[in-house]
Amino acid sequence: MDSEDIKIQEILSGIKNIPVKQDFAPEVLKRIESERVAREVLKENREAMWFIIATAFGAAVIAGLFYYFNSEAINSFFADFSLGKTNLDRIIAIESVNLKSSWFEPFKNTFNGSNTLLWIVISVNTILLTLLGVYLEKRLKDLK
Amino acid sequence: MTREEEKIILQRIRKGESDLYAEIVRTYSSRVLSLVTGMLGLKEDAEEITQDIFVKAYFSLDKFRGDSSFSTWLFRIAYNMSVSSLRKKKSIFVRADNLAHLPDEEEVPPGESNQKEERLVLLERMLAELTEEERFLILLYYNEDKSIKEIAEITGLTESNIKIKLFRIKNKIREKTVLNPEVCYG
Repeated sequence: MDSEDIKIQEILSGIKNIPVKQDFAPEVLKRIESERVAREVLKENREAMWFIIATAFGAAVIAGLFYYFNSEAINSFFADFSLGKTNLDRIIAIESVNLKSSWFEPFKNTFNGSNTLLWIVISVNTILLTLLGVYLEKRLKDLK
Repeated sequence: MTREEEKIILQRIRKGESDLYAEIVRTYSSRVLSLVTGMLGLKEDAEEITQDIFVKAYFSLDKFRGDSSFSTWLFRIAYNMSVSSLRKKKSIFVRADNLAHLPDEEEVPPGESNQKEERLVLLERMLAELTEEERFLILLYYNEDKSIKEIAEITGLTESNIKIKLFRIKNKIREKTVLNPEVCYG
């Protein structure tokens, strides 16, 4: 170090080891604790979020499949399924078929037999949900 | 606290004894605060950011492998967080009254107070001429006695780049402020 360095160092010593008037430690520990709790909640929310996304995705796919294979095929499926079962099972199966028929009536009317729009809705829905998941994951990563 | 003691404390913190982190905070808070204040200017902001830095460091402790000293690693976090803070809010620069809490403030004999004030003015003028990054570099180099290699680790710049920057900083200081009496007292 030359004389200039020494002079710079001397002047900069004015900002060296600024005394901390208030002890930071208790405040930092308090913030760490609340941050830890927040992260736990976020972690749980993240799991719940992916569960919802997976459920929504599954439901959308199942709905699409139900619509794609028309009610005849569904009726046939449930009818086969109920063969050889107890009366109670058969009743449940028949009720399911009835329910199913009523569920998909609105779809048929809305799309007038075409499933293209339904698939577009399902695809957009899935993409949006996945983007939401990716965004929330990124936010979580930023917090770390 | 020796480096060995520090290593043991850090291991215990990682194992769950988070209260021990208070020791680490007390050891480094003054140094981190000085760096952040020098870079950002405002002491109030600097105190807030210093606390953020320690919280961030705590949750990143698993990433500290011990290749460098803990202070080097901590200063890297300090540098990154100060840069992010500057991006969000451009702070006004250091004023002497922000630094008017020099270590021996109450103990300075009356005859020496003028000398101290002059030194504060020089400090303010010196820092005002530099960019935030330049301030951080000279504080690491002159106040923290960090080597060029360590500064490179902290800032992510290359060693040769740092040498050039320090050379330019010194020239800037020489030409415009404290090392040039004509400019300084003219």
